[in-house]
Amino acid sequence: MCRKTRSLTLLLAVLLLFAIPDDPSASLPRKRILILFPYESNTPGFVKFDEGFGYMLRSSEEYEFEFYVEDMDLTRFPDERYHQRLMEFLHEKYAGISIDLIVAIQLPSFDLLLKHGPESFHNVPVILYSQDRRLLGDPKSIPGAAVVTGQLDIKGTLDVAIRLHPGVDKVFVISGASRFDRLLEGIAREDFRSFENQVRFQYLSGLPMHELTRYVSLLPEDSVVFYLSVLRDGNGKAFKSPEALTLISKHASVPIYSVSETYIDSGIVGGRLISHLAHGAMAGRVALRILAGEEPTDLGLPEESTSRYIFHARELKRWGILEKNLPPGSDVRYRDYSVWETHRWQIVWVVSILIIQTLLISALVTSLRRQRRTERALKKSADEWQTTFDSTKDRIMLLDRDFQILRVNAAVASSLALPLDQILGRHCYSVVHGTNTPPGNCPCARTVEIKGHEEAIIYEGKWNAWLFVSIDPILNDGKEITGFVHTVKDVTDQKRAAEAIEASEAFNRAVLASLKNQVAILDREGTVLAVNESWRQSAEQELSPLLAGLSPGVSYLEVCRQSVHAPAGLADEVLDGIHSVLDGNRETFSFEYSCDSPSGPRWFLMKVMPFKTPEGGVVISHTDISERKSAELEAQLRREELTHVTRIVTIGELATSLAHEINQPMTAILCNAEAAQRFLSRADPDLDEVRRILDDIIHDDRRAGEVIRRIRTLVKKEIPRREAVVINDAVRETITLVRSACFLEGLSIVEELGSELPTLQCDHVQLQQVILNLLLNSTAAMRESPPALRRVVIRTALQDRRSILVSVRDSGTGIDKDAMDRLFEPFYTTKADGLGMGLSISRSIIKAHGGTIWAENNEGGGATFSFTLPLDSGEQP
Amino acid sequence: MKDEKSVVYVVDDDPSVLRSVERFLRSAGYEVRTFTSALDFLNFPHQDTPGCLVLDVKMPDLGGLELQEHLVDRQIAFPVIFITGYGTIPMSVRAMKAGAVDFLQKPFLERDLLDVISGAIARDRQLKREQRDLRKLRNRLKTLTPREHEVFGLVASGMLNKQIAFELGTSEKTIKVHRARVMEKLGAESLADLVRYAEKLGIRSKEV
Repeated sequence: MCRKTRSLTLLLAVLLLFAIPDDPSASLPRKRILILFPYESNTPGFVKFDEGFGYMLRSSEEYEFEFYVEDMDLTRFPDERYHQRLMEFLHEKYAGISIDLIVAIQLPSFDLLLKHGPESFHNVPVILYSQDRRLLGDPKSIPGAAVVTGQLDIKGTLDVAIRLHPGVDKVFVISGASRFDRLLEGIAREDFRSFENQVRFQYLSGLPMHELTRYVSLLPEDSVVFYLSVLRDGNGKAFKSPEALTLISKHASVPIYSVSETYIDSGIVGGRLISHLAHGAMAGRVALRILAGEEPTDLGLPEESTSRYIFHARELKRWGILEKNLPPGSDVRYRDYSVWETHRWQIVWVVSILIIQTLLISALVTSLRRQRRTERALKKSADEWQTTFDSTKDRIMLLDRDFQILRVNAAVASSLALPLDQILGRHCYSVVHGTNTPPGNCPCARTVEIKGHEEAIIYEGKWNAWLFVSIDPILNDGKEITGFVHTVKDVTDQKRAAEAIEASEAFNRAVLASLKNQVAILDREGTVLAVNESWRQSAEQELSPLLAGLSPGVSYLEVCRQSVHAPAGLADEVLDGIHSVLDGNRETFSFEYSCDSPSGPRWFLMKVMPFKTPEGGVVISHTDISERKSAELEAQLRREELTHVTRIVTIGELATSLAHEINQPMTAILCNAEAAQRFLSRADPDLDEVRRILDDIIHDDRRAGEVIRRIRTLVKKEIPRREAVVINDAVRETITLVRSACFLEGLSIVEELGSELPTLQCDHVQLQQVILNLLLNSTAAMRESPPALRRVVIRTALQDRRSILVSVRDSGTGIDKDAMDRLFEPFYTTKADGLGMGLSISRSIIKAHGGTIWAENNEGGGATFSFTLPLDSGEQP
Repeated sequence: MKDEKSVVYVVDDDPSVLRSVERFLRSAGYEVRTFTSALDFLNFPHQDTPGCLVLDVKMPDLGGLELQEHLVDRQIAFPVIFITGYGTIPMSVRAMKAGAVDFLQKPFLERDLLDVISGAIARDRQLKREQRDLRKLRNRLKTLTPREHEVFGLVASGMLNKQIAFELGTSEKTIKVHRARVMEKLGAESLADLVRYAEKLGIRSKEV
């Protein structure tokens, strides 16, 4: 009853609260304000703006306000039709509401209003707000609106960033690909100009986000990031700028600075940030003036710098920036106060109360415990035996000499699912088996015969279980049986497990036997544990000295050691390999070897893998790879053949110019010889002259010989081999071959050869073939170019200290996109008379040397083909 | 070839070819001037000595065919013989059209080169002689009075003294005197000489 009264009182109090006389503002004129946000209004900057705006308006006591907010999501949906429909929708939505003022946030919102704004909005005054005056572009493009802008303090932010990171020499500027992003970047570029003698700038503008995040994760130590905005990335994906910043910040390897308070919680360290709150208040003041009847256009352009030093505590900590280094008056946000710092007194109180309570409780518990301990000791003693008897999982029955049940434990009762009164005093066979006599296999009966312990494993269909039954007779002093202890243990699980093991072993044997590979299993000493059928058969056919007949117990290591038929060194390599896997120095060992067998030469792939058992050991498998190997050899031969033919074709293309190379010295020789003859037939021959002529003849003959030698080297069919090659020599020699051809085409070759390049190990002829091919491709590509541009630049350089880079750059027609993908395919050609093998062969040559080859279009036209060759490639060509 | 001095100009960018050709021509008794580029040759002051030009077709900077065109432009009249390691038909057509004497493929037979050169020099000598004669004749023509010039034209057109006198409105006797003067001044021995000179000088009766 008392409780009921109290609730009633509470209810009354609440009702009274609501009955407080009407708010005085209710009688004030009502003003409706529509705020258009270009994207979500809950972005931190907008929230702050809204807060400042609302605060300023409410501080006037002349009106009552109603706010309507539209998140237009313009950056993610730039489609014109969407904009049009959106405005139509707003028109309908606000049809019954008379809007007194529209606040357009940022230029895109304003533009939209201007372009598609419904008639119902035409006479509504508009405030346009933008963070920076310069973002609005031409002031003439903003008719009929009051403009409220701040000023982004780009210089101030960069200045503080440079001061906080004294070693910094590079600033990476991030901006997106949208119109706004580019606009902002343009402003920033101007502001940065005055810093160009202090730091270097690199603009990461309009990159796809995934590239941007990868890029920022690799930035050098002495750099910072200056984030402008990313509303759209290089792939055209739309972002909310703070979201994009969060993504970038997550990966960034250096601190990020920016200019807007919007970003303070998105991963920037801070900077001179504009305050959206202050901007909101500015807009609020302007709004009040407009509502008071002033014309928006007469208000001028309020522009205030609201930037302040604001920093994020977590980011300061992340980059190890000490707060004492920040400029005076800096606002450090998001400090983590410890619970102790904030709630010290509450904690002291709670802990004190807890301690007192604990003391009281423990006193009570101690006295209770003492009492119970005595009781428990008594009971324990009494129950101990019964507990043991009952808790054993084995079913124990005590029988008298006539097999009548005297006593059973809990396990028996539960397995029989009978109450004790239906068990005790009855014959065991009647209770368990439901028969009138003991069953034939009853171990009890045998116990009587032998007067001793008896046991048996019996399958009991009733429980679908295997039971281990053991009977111990109870003998009196006269050695007569007075009863039995009948114990039953359920061994079904053990039995099944044993069967499973048996089955699994049989399975394993079958698997081993079915393998086509020759498999042997060795223990950790190298002794054979098992070999499969395939191994046995191969041993009989004497396919390989390493596949000798083995039987369990033989040391395979010994067999290898004594394999006299094996090629020299083979046994040693195998032994080393097996040992290394046995010792755990290597996970696996595999190698290919060839050997002679009665059925001809064979190739095997031998693999040694650890035998994953606790005892260790290895599994050795042989795979006959003769077919694959001969196919490979065949393919290799074909490839060499093709390489050679392509080379000859290339030389054929050069025939005209090579003829010229030989013709020149031949002409000189002929003229010289003729002249010598004539001089000698004179009355007083000038022998010195004749000697000079002979010198020249020798020289010219050598010159012709050298050309022929070079051609012959290229034309000769030789097995590729590794030799020391000086790359610049190879390049120069190749140039001499095409020099005449270039001369005929009216183009020049410029050499930009690196100095002191290390020697390569590669096939000289094939290398020249590649260079020759690239040079000829370049000359062909420039056939249509204006003569002044016909220039091939061949460059050699060291790359990463590990490889040599050779590139051939032309200023020809370049490579179109379709061709770029297929350039290196065999039989792909853009030349009318081309074979389409040159680049394909070049690629296979470079690949065989462990290098890479690629093509790209130059910025100013033409293409560059490049390849690299590693300085130490183990592979054979 | 020994009766008057002649010069063979050789232009080839390959120094060993240039040297060997120079020796060969020198051994055959020619005075030879060598140039390793076409520009060098153009910059060389040319004399009126008869000669010919042996040109390599393909040279850097200025090729043989281009040089030939320059020569035509500058009215430097030398018979041009091209030698080339890789002649193409369009190339030889272009050269011949521009007045080349011959087009030899490297390596050429020395006899061929000598034959072509001696032919070219003979031609040049002939040409140069004719030019000299014509120049002489033109100088003599300048010494004629206007009236003598008129009479010369009418005589060369085949008119008799009487007809000329009628045409010019004077006496046959006066014409005879003029005619004798013209013959003397131009160094003509006969009427046939006069007619030939008029033809060379391009004088016809219609001009009168």
